[in-house]
Amino acid sequence: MRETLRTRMGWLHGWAGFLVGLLAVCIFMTGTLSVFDTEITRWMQPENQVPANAPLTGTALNAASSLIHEQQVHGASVFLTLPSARSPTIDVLHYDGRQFVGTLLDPRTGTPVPVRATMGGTFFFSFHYTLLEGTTGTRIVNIVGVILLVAIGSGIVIHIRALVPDIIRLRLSAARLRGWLDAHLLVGVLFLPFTIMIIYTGVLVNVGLILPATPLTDLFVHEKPQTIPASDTRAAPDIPLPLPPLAPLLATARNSLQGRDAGFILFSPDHLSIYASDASGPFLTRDHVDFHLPDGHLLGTTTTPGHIAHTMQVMHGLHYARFACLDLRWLYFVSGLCATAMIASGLVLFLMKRRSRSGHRIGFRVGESLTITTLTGLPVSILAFLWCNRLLPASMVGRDRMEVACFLGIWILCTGHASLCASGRCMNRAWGPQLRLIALLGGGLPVLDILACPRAVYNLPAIHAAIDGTGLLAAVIALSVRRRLEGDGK
Amino acid sequence: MACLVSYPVAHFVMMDIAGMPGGNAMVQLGQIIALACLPVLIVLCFSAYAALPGVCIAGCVAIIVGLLVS
Repeated sequence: MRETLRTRMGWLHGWAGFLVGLLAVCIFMTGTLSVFDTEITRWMQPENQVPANAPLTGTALNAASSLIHEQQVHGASVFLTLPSARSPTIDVLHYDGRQFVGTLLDPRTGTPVPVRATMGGTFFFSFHYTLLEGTTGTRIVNIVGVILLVAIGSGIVIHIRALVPDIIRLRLSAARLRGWLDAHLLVGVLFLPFTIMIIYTGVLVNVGLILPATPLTDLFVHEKPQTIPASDTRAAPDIPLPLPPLAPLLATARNSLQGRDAGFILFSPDHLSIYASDASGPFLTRDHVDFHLPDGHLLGTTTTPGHIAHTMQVMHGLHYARFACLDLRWLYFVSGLCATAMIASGLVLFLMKRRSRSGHRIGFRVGESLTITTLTGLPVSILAFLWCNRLLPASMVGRDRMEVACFLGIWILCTGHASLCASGRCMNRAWGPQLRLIALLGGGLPVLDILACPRAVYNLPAIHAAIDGTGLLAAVIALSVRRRLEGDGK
Repeated sequence: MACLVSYPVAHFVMMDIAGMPGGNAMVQLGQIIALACLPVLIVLCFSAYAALPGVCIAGCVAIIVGLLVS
């Protein structure tokens, strides 16, 4: 009976893991990069030379107020992001339908910082939870998360008796299949708590999309779009009220929020709301203080009381990790990489186990080409995205869209290459060139960075060393895997 | 089959908790608990399906009745 259960769980673990693993690798890889999304944005905007912890002055806040009022007069719905330890500029932003864009201001002087147009790290963040497909993508990501939890649950049932020995067992010199299995078990068991936590809290962020608080029968009822009755009288557009000086309001808000720093300010026609910073603690709240416009008198403070609300806030805070210090952020990054490696090694194992029996089948070849597209094509595209940032002219119109187009274009090319190799039944020829490409782009990233933006590298050495170093690490891993593949081929 | 049985059960758990007095907080609590239950239910249902088809059929009937009643 026990053997039957293990066999059944093995089937579930293998197929559920493989089918959602292809998407899960993309979600985990971009999510891992999103841990440093602000830093990646700074790397991708080398013109932004504002030092960290630059003091915020009243002059800069007044300049931001003037800019906001000017944009409100033109009908833009703007908000203001305040400087933080990770992002030192004052950002006056609005949503253009795809991303938040706007002007960056120096917090010392209030002068605009001219930077190149790029989606920066927010591209990876957006890809991570929407797959660039909006609400539908978020729903798919949530479903992938639940099925991944199922795969993990079935994996635990399979290995429950050997969980502790699996942590210390790694036989890279053993047979290839055994080595991959040991690596899969090692990272899987070692980072099991992190993996479960990050998937569970991630799904919980948008849980309403898969577990809506409406009866199931309502899901099948087609909602008719509400029609707005036509009216002859057209309301005159409101002229936005002038903003009061923001510095005293920030001091009042800080007191009202129990000493927490302010993160961003939203503006309404008759009031403005100062929100607590996400970095001020593990509780990811939307606590805010409202002020009347135009005189700026305090209207009140909104907080969310209750244990359940706090539990939800902690869940969100744990996933976003915006409260985390640099060390903890690196721990998230390494854990994310290992979770990605766990899923990636699972995909490879699934294919290796079935190669001798089903290698000739078209379904197998499609599966392997998709695996190559995911495991090597995605890193190639990410590195190409970073290369484009340096190679495209800084003043080029629509360069942010061009970067994204380049990312998608390179990924499609990698897919085409893997599919062509799969149709010729020579999969090693697909792995090899794409791994070489990762090595080339990753190894060349520091050189390109130093040649293209030497001043930025000199002024912000830590950020550039970390991102260029990650490129180098990708190159080393790709070369090492390729050497093992060649060794197996001989 | 396991998913078809487990998802409505998790949803009913969430709706039952959400129906308790407490407003939006109870909806959140229901979602926290239901999301934790959902993968466990799928694994349990998948492992039990071969041995206990009668239980699974009864579960399906109960879900259909629940859908009609709700």
